[in-house]
Amino acid sequence: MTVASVRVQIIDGVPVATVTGEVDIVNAGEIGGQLFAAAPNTAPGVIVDLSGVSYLDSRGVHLLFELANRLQMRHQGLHLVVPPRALIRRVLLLTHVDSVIPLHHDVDAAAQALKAHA
Amino acid sequence: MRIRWVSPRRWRLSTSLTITIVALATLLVLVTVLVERALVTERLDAELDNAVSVGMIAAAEVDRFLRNIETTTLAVTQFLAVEPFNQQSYDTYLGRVYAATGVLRSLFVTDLEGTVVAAAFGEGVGADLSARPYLRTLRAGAATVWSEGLPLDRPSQLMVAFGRVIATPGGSRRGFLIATFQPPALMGALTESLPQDARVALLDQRGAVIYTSAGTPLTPAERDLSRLPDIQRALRGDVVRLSGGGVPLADTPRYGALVPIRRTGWVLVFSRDLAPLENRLRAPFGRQRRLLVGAIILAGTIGFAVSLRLFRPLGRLAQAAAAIARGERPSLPDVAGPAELATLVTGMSVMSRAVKEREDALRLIAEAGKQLSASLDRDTILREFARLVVPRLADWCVIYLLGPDDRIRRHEIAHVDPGTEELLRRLGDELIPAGGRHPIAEVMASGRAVLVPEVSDEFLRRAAPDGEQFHLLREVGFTSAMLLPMMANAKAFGAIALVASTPARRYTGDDLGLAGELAQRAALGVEKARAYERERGIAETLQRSLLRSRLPHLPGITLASRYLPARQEAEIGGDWYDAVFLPQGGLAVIMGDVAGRGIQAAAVMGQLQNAVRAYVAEGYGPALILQRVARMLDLREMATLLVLFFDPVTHAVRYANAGHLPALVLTGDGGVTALEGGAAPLSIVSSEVTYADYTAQLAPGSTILLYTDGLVEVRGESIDDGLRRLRDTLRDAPVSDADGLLNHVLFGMLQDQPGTDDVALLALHAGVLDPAGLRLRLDASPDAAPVLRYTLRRWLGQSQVDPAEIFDLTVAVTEAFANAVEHAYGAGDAAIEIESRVDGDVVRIVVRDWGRWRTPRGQHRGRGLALMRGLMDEVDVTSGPDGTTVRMWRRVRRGVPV
Repeated sequence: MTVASVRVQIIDGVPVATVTGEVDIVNAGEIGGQLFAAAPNTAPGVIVDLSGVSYLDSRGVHLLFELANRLQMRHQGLHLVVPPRALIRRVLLLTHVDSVIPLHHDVDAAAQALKAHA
Repeated sequence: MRIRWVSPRRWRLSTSLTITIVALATLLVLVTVLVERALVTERLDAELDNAVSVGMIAAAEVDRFLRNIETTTLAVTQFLAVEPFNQQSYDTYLGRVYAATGVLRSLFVTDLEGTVVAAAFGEGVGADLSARPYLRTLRAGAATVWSEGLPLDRPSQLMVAFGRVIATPGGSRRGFLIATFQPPALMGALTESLPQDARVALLDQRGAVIYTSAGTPLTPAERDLSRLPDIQRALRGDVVRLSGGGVPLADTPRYGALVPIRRTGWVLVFSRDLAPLENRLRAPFGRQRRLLVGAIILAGTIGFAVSLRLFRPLGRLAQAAAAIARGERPSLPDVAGPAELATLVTGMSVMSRAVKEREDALRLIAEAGKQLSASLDRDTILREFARLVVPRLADWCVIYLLGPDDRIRRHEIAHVDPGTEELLRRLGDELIPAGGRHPIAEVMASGRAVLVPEVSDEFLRRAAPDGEQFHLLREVGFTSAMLLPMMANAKAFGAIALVASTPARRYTGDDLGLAGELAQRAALGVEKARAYERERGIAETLQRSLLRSRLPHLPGITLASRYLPARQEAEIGGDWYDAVFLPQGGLAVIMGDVAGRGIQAAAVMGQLQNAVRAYVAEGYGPALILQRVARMLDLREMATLLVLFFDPVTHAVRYANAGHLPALVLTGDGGVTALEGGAAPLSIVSSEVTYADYTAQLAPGSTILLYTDGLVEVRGESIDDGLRRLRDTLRDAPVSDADGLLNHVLFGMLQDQPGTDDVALLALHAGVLDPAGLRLRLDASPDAAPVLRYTLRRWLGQSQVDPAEIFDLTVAVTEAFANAVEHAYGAGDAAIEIESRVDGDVVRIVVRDWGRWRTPRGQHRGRGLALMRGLMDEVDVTSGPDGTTVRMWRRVRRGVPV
């Protein structure tokens, strides 16, 4: 049984979804749904904070791509927060997530980038 | 019921009747005697009066005689006064007078000195009589004198003298005329005229007897009666009545009177014999007395007879009644007596039977109440009921229950005779459609008890579906019956048939009342059992759903659990446990105990479990979880809760405890340590309690034991003793076998017997993975992915691999595993095998499945393979008809092995 949780905060009008735990084949679908729901129509996009994620594999990567696609259709941006020394960074890079979704070291940077885009 | 004993102070009826009879008889005798005495006295008085009259007549006669003497002498003196004063001149005259009177003893004349001058027939002339008292009286001047009794030559003979002065016409005294006579001469004639039994006596003025008709000679002393008071009264001039012993000179009882004779101062004594009078008076009363005695004897005899025929039987009946009241069963005395008594005996035997029946009924009801409420199991209750009524109330009994298919089934059967009971059982599984014509169906439809005093063939035919059963019922005996519905919520859920098979037993309305009462109790018992079962069932279901039958599995980590409910009759308790994976890796084991029992406790357990699971999923630590749970739940009952996180990689333990018994850690060398630390149980006030996290480091090969108080709180033992005993029990427990350990503990502590409280146990054994190689065989299910990750991390950690590289390796292996799960199999059970070895600084991993490899399609699947390749130094996939094998290796940095 894999457990991860999603918490959403609105900071300066930008929804920040913090994911904690392990994202894998068991719960990826559920986490994806929660993250999409975190971005209201009115928001410019959503910031997903992966600092607390201790495990992420191709299922997690897939959910991020799918989320980016669905947000794209609503003209909303997706920004990820991944600390420089996070273990999952290597997975994200290997799967070229960074080519589609901007990665930031912290929430502030992500928020600025999101606002700038909007 | 008690009958007050007749106090000894109260008389029995027979006694009082006897006393009354005796008293009445005594009274009667007394009255009779008094009346008799009064009558006798009255008659006696009359006789006395009579005697007085006769006495007075006699006295008058005496007086007349004396007067004659006085008058005669007066005439004589007148003659003597004028004649010459000598013998010659007087001789003839005196002689004639003497002869004429005929009663005188002597008649003479003296001179004034007292010398006899002349006498009739010249007797004693010249004698000097001057010394005689009567002459002295005359000489002293008296005109006349009556002498006292004067002795004659023979002392027994007396005479009386009368003296008179002879005076000359000139008035001078010349001499004295003296006449003497003997009293018998006076009294003889008188006596003859009196009744035969009458006696007369004459007393002179001194009180001396001068005459008595008895004729017995008296001495001078005997003659003197002057001392007697009655005599003295008479001498004073009173008429004295004599009764009883008051009669002088009488040797037998006499009555009579003393009558004074005034002329001479004498007293006449008249008396009669009392005996004949008494006899005459008392004779009629004597007859009455005999009559009275006879009547009393008759009354006594009648009393005795009545006592024999009425009171004795009544007494025996009263004793019997008292015995009945005491609860004994005396046989009533066979009383032959009057009709009333026979009626009383009949009434009492009816009463005795009624009392006995009522008492039996009450006893039966009481016993039924006890027996039928002793169990909470429907079948036991109904079996007890059948055992209770057969043979006391029925020769056989059948109990029917309505099934869920709306058909009535025979559930229980009992017969006086076990052989017949067996025969009846073989009637087959009788199914009665509800609402049909079968008597049982009718009773259940109406909900009213039915009394069939005499069973008819028509009734039997309705009760027996076919001819064979009809004959069987007839053969077994079906003479009288009672059909009773068992009701719950105004609806019959079953019915009871009580059957009498001998004509001796014929049911009446009373029997129906009793049977109805019993049936109602049975119905209540069954309904209670049903309600209990329902509630227990709900509670059990709830609890079972909370107690995980499948614990999370991690290779090298063994989890085992036990739940031992308390004894059957007790309700489900509030013990629960849980074990879940932690989102951050590792395991959470939880144990709690909710105060209270039953559904309420189970519901709280459910809330607690869900809350704890949710907070675990959120990534909260143990203390925070307790804090949140305490704040979140509105706990009406107290609950203990122990949350323990175990990290399989580091063997670190983090826990928080809300009032639960401390978990125990068993090390391989037999040591037992308690994981101390904690705070108050969860309760309504526990939101103000602060819970803290405690940590401990487990040696590899240790086992953690969690338990509830039911294990150590055995009846009659303090919890400290229980804990000490648990530690003793654990000293020789199999530490590395979680399952065996729990068996050992349960046997050591409870001898495998259910205790008074539920017991929950959970053991977590942290085994050591083989450092040489890891070999896992997992279900081909996505759910196994976390297990694979945790185990791999743990094994790699054990092998001192760098955490970053552990992450990479884990992702790569999980990708291979996920591919195998997704592509290699359809639905169904299958396994995937993972092998891992560390050769120096190279980690080799093989993931093997037995399905069909399918070429990855689409971005997503390509990504998995890309990741494997990106994270490992080399990935090699071999696919064939028997399955797919993925071989990977990577060079790693390793720390210094411990």
